[in-house]
Amino acid sequence: MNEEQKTMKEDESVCDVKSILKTIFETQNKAKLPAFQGIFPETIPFILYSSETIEPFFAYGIAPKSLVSFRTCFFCIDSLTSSCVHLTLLLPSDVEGSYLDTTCMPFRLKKMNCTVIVSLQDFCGIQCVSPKLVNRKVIISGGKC
Amino acid sequence: MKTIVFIGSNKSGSSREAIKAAERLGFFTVLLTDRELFFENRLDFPDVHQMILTDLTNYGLLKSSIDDLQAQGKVIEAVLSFVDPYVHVAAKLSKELGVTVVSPEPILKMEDKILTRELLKDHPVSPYFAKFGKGESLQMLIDKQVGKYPLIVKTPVSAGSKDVVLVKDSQQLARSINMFLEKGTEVLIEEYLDGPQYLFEVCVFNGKVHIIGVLEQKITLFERFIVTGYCLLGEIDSAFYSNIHETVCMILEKFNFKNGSCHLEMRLVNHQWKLIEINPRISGGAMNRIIEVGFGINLVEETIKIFLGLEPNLKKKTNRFVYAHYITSEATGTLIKVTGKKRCSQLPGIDEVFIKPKKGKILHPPLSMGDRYGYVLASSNNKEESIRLAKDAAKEISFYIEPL
Repeated sequence: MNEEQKTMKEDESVCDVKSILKTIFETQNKAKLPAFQGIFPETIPFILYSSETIEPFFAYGIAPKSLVSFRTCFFCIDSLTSSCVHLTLLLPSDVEGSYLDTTCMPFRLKKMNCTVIVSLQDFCGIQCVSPKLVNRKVIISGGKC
Repeated sequence: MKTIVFIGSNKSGSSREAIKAAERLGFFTVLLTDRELFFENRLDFPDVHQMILTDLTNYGLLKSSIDDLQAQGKVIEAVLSFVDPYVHVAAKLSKELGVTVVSPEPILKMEDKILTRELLKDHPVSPYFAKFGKGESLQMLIDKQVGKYPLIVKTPVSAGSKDVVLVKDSQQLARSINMFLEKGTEVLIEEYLDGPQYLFEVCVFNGKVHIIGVLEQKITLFERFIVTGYCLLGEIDSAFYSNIHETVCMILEKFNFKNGSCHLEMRLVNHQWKLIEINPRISGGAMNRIIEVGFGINLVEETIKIFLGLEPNLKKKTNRFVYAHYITSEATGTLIKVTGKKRCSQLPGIDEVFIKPKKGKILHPPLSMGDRYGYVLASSNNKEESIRLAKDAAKEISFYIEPL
């Protein structure tokens, strides 16, 4: 692949990422309308792939209650401009609520109050994750509690 | 090839242990089942040497399956069932093949709750009862029940609390009768008996009655009556035992039950034993293990011997109090994971921990005995200690459930 083809390929990837993010953003906005409530998910999580490493992109935050720092590759979209996207970090955890530093599917994704603004140029791919994982509930039956 | 054919089985519990016992005794085991899931998970049944998927309610199909087995050169030594409502069918097939000393007639009367009540009518162990059939006057029946509430309404083939409800007034009675008539043609209405409930595991060989185990039952009323605890009594007061033995002998005499095993659920009401129900088989679930842990007797194995016309070995090798604490779910949803099983089984006095559902199974509060999701078995020389050990250990078990 020559330099020109490579640039073209990257540009196409960016266009794809942007158009998918736009669809996600619009779907989330529609979900807030009374007509679509309960039909569309209000939060659609996703993983972004870095153009540089072709690996999931990680951002760092601090959990509000425990004040422990964490990193995550799971995000949801807050807003979108022509060149940037405003992301909210989603904290991955296991069934017991313990934080997981993972790129695998966790049991739950919790919306945090941490946000990050990134340039669309930095990403070559996007992978949507099941919205069911967001604030997923679990009941513990039996045990000492 | 000496073969034992089993009609129906659950994946675990007494009925499954019977298949394992037959294998241990050196028989080729054949399971006739109507559960397609068993077929799909064939590797989960290594003790079943041949599995045949068939309609268990069709006597002709069962018979032709057995004919096919014989044509293959298998020598059928017994046809057995440890699950309702096939115990009678299995005994009938065995009789037709001329391979058993167990008579199917008493088994049929035990399986059908209305036949049981009619047989024991006017006997002191029998509570007040009435039956109602399709086409009869519901109003007339309701009028006759004035002053008799609360009552128990059940279907004649009810098992494992599946079709048993408590009604407190005429409206509830009418509703439950109509509900059960959708499933069958007759409904049984019985007096509600209040008092401690016991379960007797019994073996009869050549007319001699052996009370193998006396168990206290802990019953919890959820939507239905569910037994959540069994306590096998390691020692029993001799006068109390004699009283039980005499009552059980009287009942079995009425049934003309000469060979086989059965269990009776009875309540002690004002010093009088009252029969809740009798079933022509060992109790399901953990019962075989409870008796094995308490007395060193594998009851299903000894029952197989009775069906083969061999003398069972019912000599107790140990004498311990055993408590089986059953685990149920308070919540409804999909099972994500179970924790604490290993921790629980390593606690002192714990003989066995069994968790039934797999990940992904939908759990709910119990509607029948089949909705108990596991048990913890503890034994001791002391009754109270066995209960405490099992209940405390069960607290280690947690079900993680995702709401639907």
